[in-house]
Amino acid sequence: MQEWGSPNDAEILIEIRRGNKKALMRLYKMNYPSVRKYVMQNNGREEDVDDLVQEATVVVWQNASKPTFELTSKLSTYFMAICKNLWLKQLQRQSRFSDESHIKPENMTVGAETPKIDLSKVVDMVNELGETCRDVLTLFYFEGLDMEGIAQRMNFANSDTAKAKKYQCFKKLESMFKAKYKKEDFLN
Amino acid sequence: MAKEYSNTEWIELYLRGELHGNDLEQFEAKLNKDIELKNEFNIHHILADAIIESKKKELKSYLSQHSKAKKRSLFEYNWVFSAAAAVALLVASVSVYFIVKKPGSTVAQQEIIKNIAKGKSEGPQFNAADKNDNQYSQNNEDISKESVATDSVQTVALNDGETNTDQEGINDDIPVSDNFKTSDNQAQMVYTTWMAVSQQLEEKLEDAIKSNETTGVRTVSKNESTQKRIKNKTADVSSTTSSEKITLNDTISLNKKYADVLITSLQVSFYETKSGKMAYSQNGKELKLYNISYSDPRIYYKNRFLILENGGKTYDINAKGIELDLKEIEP
Repeated sequence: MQEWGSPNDAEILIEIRRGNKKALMRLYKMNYPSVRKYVMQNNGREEDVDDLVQEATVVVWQNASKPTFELTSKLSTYFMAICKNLWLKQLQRQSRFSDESHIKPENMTVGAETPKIDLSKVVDMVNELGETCRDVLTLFYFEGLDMEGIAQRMNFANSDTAKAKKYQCFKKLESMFKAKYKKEDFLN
Repeated sequence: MAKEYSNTEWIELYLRGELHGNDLEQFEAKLNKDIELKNEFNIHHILADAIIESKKKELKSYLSQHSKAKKRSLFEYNWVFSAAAAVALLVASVSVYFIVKKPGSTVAQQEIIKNIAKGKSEGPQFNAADKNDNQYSQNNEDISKESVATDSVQTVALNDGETNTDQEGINDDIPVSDNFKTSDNQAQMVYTTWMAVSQQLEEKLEDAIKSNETTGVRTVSKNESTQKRIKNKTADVSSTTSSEKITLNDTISLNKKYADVLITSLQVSFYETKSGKMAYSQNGKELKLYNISYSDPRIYYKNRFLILENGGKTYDINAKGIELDLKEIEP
């Protein structure tokens, strides 16, 4: 049984699932003050707050978009829980970074698995795809929709059309990627 | 692993977290053995990550733009609001300026209008040390100011005295300058009162004030007054030469319901000089009348001119300056 929390929560979730970005902004604004308070009380600075709220908003959006998502608490509670996790991870990263900073460069070993792929360049490739392709792939990989859901959102005739379109778009992206990188670049 | 799925489909199910149990174990086992599958998986994984990252960037960019736009629009709103307030203030100032500078408006009127614009009333003043008026010895008497209203033609009503015949009561309220000296060429102040100025009075008020409420004028002899002053303040009044009567009065309470809009007031002082020449001086706040007997005085605006009525005669008292001729005009 799905629990929506307050009516406002249900409203926001419905809008998220419709892909309405106003719901994103609402989510952001609604939770900003409490997150800010939390960050400031936990070794954070003012400039950390914006990044954290943005990150959490995107995570909530991504999770809430999935058809299998069930909200079992108030949306604000869920949002805050995500923020706390993200913030703890960030503090751990900062702590680790601080520890590693004591290691002198000459003592560092360069691992065999140093990534050779710059993800931002691949992201650029995604952005070079047409809008429809980008949307279809995003709905599939980011929002976790099935072909039926994609067909609905994209106003395709049916799930087969969505499947064909998605295959076509992925192959296009793959060919762009393979044209730029060699096998050795992404093999571990 | 179910035979009906292609490698791509298995990879997608895995990346979406939709493989469970045996299917998941079998896929992971195959992934470690099958190099072709591993290659395909790696590419797929990178591309899926890039697609997700692309969407995240898009959403974050949206959030950044809109939160900044919100802040900016708030700032712009504040700026616009401030600008509007500044313009309104400017318009109001210019309006007041033009009202004050309107032809026919005298300096005295300007002063009063300025006070009206300020919306404040002035309390009793004891400006005996006014540098411009040093030639006059000044004994400022405190006649308390009451709310007074005027009619639609901006009649200035005089606050007249209560009918208090108690000498003690009168003189207790009279502050006397410590250096109360006069000489032959100095004017002897004999009477000071306040003229409260207000506006928006119903027309009938003027008559009401004159007929019923502007009472309480009474005359006491100077000697009585002087004795009392000496008693209270030990002021030197030995050089006072005039033996004429001094007219004193207190204020009266005018009908309060007409006095909702108290604007400002004029301090009016009556002086006697040896020359006996009728004159006046005024600066918009204070009106000094020389050698004119106190006789039911009224001050009002008529066609934006400040008019004095006293003893059944009408005088123009618009000009600002020191000791100007007091000329009678047609009522």
